[in-house]
Amino acid sequence: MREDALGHGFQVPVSQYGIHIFVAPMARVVFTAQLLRFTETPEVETAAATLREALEASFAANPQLRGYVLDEQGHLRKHVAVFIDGQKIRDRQDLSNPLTPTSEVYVLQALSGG
Amino acid sequence: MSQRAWIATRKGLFQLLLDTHAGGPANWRVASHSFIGEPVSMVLPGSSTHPMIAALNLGHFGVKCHASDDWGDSWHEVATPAYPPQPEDAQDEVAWKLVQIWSLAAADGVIWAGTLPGGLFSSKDCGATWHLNESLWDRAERLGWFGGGYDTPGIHSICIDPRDTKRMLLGISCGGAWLTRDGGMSWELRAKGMNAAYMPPDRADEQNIQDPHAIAQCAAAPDTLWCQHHNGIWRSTDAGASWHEVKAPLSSFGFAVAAHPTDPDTAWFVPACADQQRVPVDAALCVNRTRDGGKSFETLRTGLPQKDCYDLVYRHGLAVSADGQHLMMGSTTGNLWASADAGESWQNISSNLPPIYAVRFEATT
Repeated sequence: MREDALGHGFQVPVSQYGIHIFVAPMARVVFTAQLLRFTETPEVETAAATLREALEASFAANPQLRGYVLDEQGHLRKHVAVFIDGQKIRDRQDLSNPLTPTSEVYVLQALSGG
Repeated sequence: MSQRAWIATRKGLFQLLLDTHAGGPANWRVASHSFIGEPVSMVLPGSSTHPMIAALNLGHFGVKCHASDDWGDSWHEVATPAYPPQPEDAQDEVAWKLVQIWSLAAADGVIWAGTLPGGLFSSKDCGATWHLNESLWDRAERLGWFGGGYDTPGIHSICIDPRDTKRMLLGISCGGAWLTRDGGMSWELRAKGMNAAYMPPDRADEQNIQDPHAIAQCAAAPDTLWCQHHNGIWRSTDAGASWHEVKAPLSSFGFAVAAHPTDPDTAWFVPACADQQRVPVDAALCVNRTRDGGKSFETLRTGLPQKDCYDLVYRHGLAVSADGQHLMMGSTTGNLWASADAGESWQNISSNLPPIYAVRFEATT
């Protein structure tokens, strides 16, 4: 697979006739492997426009994951760290941070809280 | 009858078994472990009507509950108590978020969980679902509670009356003692007589701000309750309607209390110097036992370290078995001791366990 000329997606050759389909890029959500001790962490690619929507897509794949990342008020747990494209998020309640189609979201455990 | 006990620690749950050999001494041994590396804040031994429950307090990922039907050989995660959405206009100083499961008790197939920040939850389906006891949570007095030992208030003691399991008394730090007579539908404050030296003098006897570190009940005489309080030891013989202070030797400060299961006059305490110096008096560990309702105490030291000892026994770190003979005591330093003679003498089981949060006996046959 290759990034297209505009950097917006991927062109995938699908036949010997050279027909290409355009696959829309999607944000990717990756969870710390530390969570595997407790529950599955499916790696999700999503068209979500915000962090919360992306997390919801992950929770749809494994509902048990929600309680490990968010508390019962829907806030990011105090000692869970989320990075979007390398930047750590600061607002732990709203989670409305915008995502781009190429965003990479990492849900990690903070060094605090151990 | 053989004995089994459970030790909840900062880094896992441990099963202790008492090996008895004909003609030989009986020795406790660590028989198995679960959740190694994870904080286990409380454990509820299983029974014929409910599974064993382990409450984990994961540093990063929150509180989790696991259940076992085979003494810890296998576990499955069950639901975790969860607070309802916090109203925007809530007058709370605390967030409606589960911080820790601090106490677990069960009767008639209902599991009760006392939590930080002060909510009582129940489960009638072995932990599959939990329900916040709203009649207590919605009490106006709750807004006057505050943290004792932790940043938020919490329910650490749940005493269920074996004669009538709808009668239950709670110990709350700092929120006094509360009694229900109807299975949790209504509650009344029951801390009259306790006194709080940490408050302004004109509020010292206010019931709703008392800090009972732990409350234990005599199973055969459930109206008798023993309270190790932040400022001393109190006893009630009328189900908490009134409390009377008891003076113990060395120090009346401490955290743990164990009530004899059949003798309402007998209880055990583990003294520490004072709230500003939470170590054994003279660096020598001992247990204070009364057998006359608190009129007098014996200080028991045999088998306990009497030099350079800085172990503290937390509020759930002392337990007595159903026969009133076996005691077990675990410390913040990871020492575990057992007594087979009602505290007269103690044997060290291990000096290398993680910091011990809770000790609980389970009777086995």
